[in-house]
Amino acid sequence: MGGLLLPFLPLLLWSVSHRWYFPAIIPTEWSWRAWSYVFKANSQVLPALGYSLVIALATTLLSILIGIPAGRAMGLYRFRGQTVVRVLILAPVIVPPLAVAMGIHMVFIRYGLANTLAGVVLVHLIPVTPYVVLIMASIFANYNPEYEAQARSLGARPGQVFRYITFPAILPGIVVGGLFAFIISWSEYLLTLLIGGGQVITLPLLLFSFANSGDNALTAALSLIFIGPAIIFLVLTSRYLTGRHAAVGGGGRL
Amino acid sequence: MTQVDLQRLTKIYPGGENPAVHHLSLTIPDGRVTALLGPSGCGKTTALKMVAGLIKPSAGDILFDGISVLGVPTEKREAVMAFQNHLLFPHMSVSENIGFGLKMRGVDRTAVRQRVADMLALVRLPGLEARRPYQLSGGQQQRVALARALIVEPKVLLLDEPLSNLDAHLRSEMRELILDVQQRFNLTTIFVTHDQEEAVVLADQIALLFEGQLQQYGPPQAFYDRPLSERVARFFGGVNFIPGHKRGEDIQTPLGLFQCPSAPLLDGAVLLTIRPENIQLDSHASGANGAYGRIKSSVYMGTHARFKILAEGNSPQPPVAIEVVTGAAGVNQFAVGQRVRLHLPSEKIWLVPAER
Repeated sequence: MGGLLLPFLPLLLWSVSHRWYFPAIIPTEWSWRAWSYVFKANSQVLPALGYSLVIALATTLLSILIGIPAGRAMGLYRFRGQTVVRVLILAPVIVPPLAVAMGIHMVFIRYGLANTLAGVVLVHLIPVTPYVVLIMASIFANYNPEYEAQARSLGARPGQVFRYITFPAILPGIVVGGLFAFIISWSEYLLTLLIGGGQVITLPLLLFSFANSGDNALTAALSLIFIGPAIIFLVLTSRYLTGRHAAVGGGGRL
Repeated sequence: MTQVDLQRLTKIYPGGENPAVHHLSLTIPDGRVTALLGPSGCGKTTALKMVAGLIKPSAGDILFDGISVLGVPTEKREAVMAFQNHLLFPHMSVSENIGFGLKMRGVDRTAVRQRVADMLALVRLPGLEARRPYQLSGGQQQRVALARALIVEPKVLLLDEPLSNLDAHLRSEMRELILDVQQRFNLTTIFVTHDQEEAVVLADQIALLFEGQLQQYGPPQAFYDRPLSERVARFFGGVNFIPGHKRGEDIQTPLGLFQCPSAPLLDGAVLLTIRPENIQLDSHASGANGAYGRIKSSVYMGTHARFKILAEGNSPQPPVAIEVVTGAAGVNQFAVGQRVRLHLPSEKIWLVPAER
């Protein structure tokens, strides 16, 4: 874990430096300027952080709601045209997002979704959903639906079957799929820029504009804020990535 | 205390050519153990799942005590099924597994805990509440699955291959346990098996299915003594089938004339059958219902001996292979190549229709 954090040390130094030129090992002059800007009442950073969080969480939730039934259909059942459906699910990963986004932008303008939060969430679902569906499909491929039949026979109503049997069994997939969804949405730049139209400013948008302006201290401080939630999510879910509860690279729990 | 009636129960799977279950009509008596027996793929598990409400019948009806349950959803049907592979919920402890049905019914926790402890005592696994399913042996998992089904006090207990995953000594233990609890609760029990021995030792009534169709329904002895067809007889280990022609009580066969007063068939072409253990071997005696034969091979099987004999009659017809089972001492009494007299007692002879 310590090794994992090492790359962030220069970022930390940059964020509090005022003058730092080659060949100095550490900054020659220090300053809190970047951090005080970040937490200033009228800075754009905190609203952007809020937008990013709302969009990423909404995208994650929606993609899981889509991913559970879709993954069940792909992983558990065999049906006519399944291969075609599989390719269609993967298509957004293969096709360049810019090509898709241009077309969708036109449609979104017509339906009043352009430049709105809802529109950005919807467009984020395009790159996110394939990953969640594929992870849920791999979970359901190792899932025995007879557990549900057994639970019903013992007197569980359909809602109870999901709560007590299906949900615990697919939880590792939900966690890992959710992690993917959150991180992809969190770091999405291009689609937010196009559909958000400058009205929906998320952290990546802010980060790119600061990076363009060449303000290294501010860029570094923003980068640290940008990385924070992703790291927290990763740590919280790491027990589902490896070992007995692993959702990828093997079997789920049932 | 529930009688189960199946009325022309039929299941046709989409895309399936033949019905998985075809016009199955059975009256399953209250408080008894009934086996649905048949080779794999004969539709017996489909029939069981239809009773449980897990599969919707294509046609026909299922009645519990005369009332149709087709409109009753699985969770309210009170016909609890215990699956073949135990299917203990892996994320729950033993006590959570057993208490599952009560929890779903909203029974309060202290009552559940007490009932779970009672059930564990009943299946002779006291004190294992906190274990996880993967920490249990196969036999223990089986008993936990049984306790989990029994705790909800079902009207009908449905068991899918209850003894099949157990080794020999666990089988007899499990068999006693099932019969014990079945009698204690006076539970109507239906189980599915492909193993005729399992059906015979556990069931009061056996329903034999081939290709989704009922072949014979009755107590276990009937399948040995009075099979309805050659196939049924063969499924229960029948090996001796002698073609013959029936007229009244006389059956004319290549081995001579045999008397069979009990057979219900019409006169005409028949197959005469007799179980190998009912044929008496003798080195000299003569009399009615007999034939001569030469011993081709013998196998000593510990508790008994099995002979293959080529029997021939007076007529110049090819010999008929007959199998005979005697006590273990028979292997010393009769040698391979020896000429023996076979006696087929008329009350042990049974006739089945000659199949064309």
